[in-house]
Amino acid sequence: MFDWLANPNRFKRITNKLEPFLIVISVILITLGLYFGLFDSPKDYQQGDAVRIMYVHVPSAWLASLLFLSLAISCVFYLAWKHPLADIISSSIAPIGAMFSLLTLITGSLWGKPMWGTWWVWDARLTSMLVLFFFYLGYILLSNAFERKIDGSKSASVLAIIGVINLPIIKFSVDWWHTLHQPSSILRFDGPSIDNQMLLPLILMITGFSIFSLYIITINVKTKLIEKKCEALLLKSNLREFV
Amino acid sequence: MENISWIMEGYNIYIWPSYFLTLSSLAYLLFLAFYKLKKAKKLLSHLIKSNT
Repeated sequence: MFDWLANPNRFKRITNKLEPFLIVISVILITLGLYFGLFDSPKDYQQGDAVRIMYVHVPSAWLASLLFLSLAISCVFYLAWKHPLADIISSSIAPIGAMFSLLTLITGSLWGKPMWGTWWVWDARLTSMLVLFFFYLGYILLSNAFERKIDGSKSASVLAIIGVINLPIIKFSVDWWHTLHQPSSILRFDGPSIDNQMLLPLILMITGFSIFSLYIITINVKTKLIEKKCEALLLKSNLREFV
Repeated sequence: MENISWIMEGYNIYIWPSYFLTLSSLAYLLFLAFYKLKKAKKLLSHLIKSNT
């Protein structure tokens, strides 16, 4: 499947057809999610209206983790088969994932202040999310730190694969340690513990954010493919001048 | 539909910035992606012209 998609021309052909659907579906889902989340979902019996921050905080947190997993898988493909498209996909995912992990931290602080009375605590869930943000930053910095692009890509890929260890820590931190953060309420062995009226906007927002991210990733990949073509053309013209 | 006021029990100073930040970040990602794509396409057409 990856080999079949790894052909840049085929990739462009498929994504050109998919892109309009991706953006339209994501905008519809996010709009519906915003409507249900802000105006049609009930207040929490303890947190009141402050619970509405959940509809942007939880999707951002899910996306930050999901994108890091995708980044690491793509890095495995790059290191194992050395396919340049895998590296392009990883570097297209990284800034989006970094943005979502930063959003998770900021919206989490904005939720934490009225509920816990503090913007930040060195709690296991919050700290592991901060570590995820640093892994994203590390990936971006390392991939641009070397003179030879290939060295940067290899080092950054190794870092991303090591960083996967942090994902189960984020997920299970609320069960393994005594934390201020509330335990899981959706992905539980005995089913979601939140009301369906709250679950609906949450699922709409998570799906909308995921499709939106996929859309941005395809545009970023297309841009990087064009940049590669430009590099090749520049090299060709430089060689011609040299000869 | 719930009877929601913009004040949201006084939590508005936390809720609205969360939504504003998230949505403006998504808009920024979209803008940046298109800006870079446009720039790359422009450079490619310029290089193709100068190479022929």
